[in-house]
Amino acid sequence: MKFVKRAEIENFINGLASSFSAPGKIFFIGETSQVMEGWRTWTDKLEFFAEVSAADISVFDETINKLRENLQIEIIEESPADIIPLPEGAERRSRMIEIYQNGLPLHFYHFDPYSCAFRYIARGDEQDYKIVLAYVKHEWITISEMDKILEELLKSFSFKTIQQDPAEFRRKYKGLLQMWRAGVSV
Amino acid sequence: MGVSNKNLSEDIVTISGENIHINRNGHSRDFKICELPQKFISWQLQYKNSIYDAIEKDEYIAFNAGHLPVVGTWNDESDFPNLANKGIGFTPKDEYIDHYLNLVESAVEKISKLPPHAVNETRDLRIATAREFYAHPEHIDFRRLGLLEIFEGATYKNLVANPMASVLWTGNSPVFISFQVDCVVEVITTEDPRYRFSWAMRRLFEYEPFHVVQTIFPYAYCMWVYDYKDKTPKRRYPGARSDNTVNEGGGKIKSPH
Repeated sequence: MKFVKRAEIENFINGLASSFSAPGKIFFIGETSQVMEGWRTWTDKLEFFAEVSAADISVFDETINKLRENLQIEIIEESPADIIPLPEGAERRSRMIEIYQNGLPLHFYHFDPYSCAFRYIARGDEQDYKIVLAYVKHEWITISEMDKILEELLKSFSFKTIQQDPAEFRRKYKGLLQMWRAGVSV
Repeated sequence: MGVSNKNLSEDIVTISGENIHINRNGHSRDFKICELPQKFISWQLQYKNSIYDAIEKDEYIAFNAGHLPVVGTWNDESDFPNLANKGIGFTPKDEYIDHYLNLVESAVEKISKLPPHAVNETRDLRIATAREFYAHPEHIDFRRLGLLEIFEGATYKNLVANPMASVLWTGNSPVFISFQVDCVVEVITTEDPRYRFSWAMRRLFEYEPFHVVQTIFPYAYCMWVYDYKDKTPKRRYPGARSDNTVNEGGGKIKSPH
């Protein structure tokens, strides 16, 4: 198992910025954001979502494959939107990573933490709850705002898709709230 | 291996690179060593971190699920396996073991100068030492586990006769992450660096309330990972797969009829 620390994420950013010159947006997700922010020291994979124009996608994919080879880490490209409908305002809530905005055509962000939280709750693996609790601990999200957003969002979840089964999601969300109230350490 | 592997079971267990050879009762078997899975490693490291947080705050620790799995052993005469909760931890890779032995044994030496009940005075050092090891997970050998023997009871007798064990961990609510890990076991003695590391790590937390104080550890076990199974409970859905379950990956819930 290769551990991904902040140095590896920075190598990814620098490698991408130096070999992909088209404009675009890179959004880090979950533990990758949390390593970048210094909340934890490692993750087991680098997770991101990219917004680049259709004309640049093949070059972008090639660049990512080369980075996978060079950095020898697991790099996963996935958006929370691949799993769940995104809550309203997701784009607005993404967080710009200031230190990587110095005139480059490629901009780096953290994906909307609420969308990430709901995506991880939907999967509900052991580490997923910890990721969400870390977002709460560091005040990127609040329980009351999650409650509020979910009131609307759950209406668009489909019973026909495992990840979105609203009954299953509610069970997992309740588990998360219990962990939070119990002060589970992250 | 870069460390001594002289051990009680060496007549029947031979480690060579990634291979384990067992010669038992005139029969030979070979096993390939593998690394623990990513999901399990992540859980273990996070769990340890949360336990150190709790110790740091002097909080009540109801159970240490990451550290106290059930170990199953058996021998040729056994009708049933012997099951026991055992404290299991990791050891550094061979190339780092001297460094971490020095770190942990030095801390033990320092805390030994104070009376055993001075746990509050030594807590910072003990926690910092343990955290230093786990802050560098790339230095940990995730192909093996370390476990100290105390009572020389059924587990010991079984492992000397038959150096194989299955270990089952189960985590907390709501996920109840669960893994079975099948191991081939070396019984190692007190001079082995892996024994010394496991002993010194235990000694750091010997006098915390969750440990029964022990002074006698005649042997340790180095458990080499041969196989594992993710036994975390999951919901059964009517689906297309032969095992009738659907995992991560956008699976669709189909009507059972």
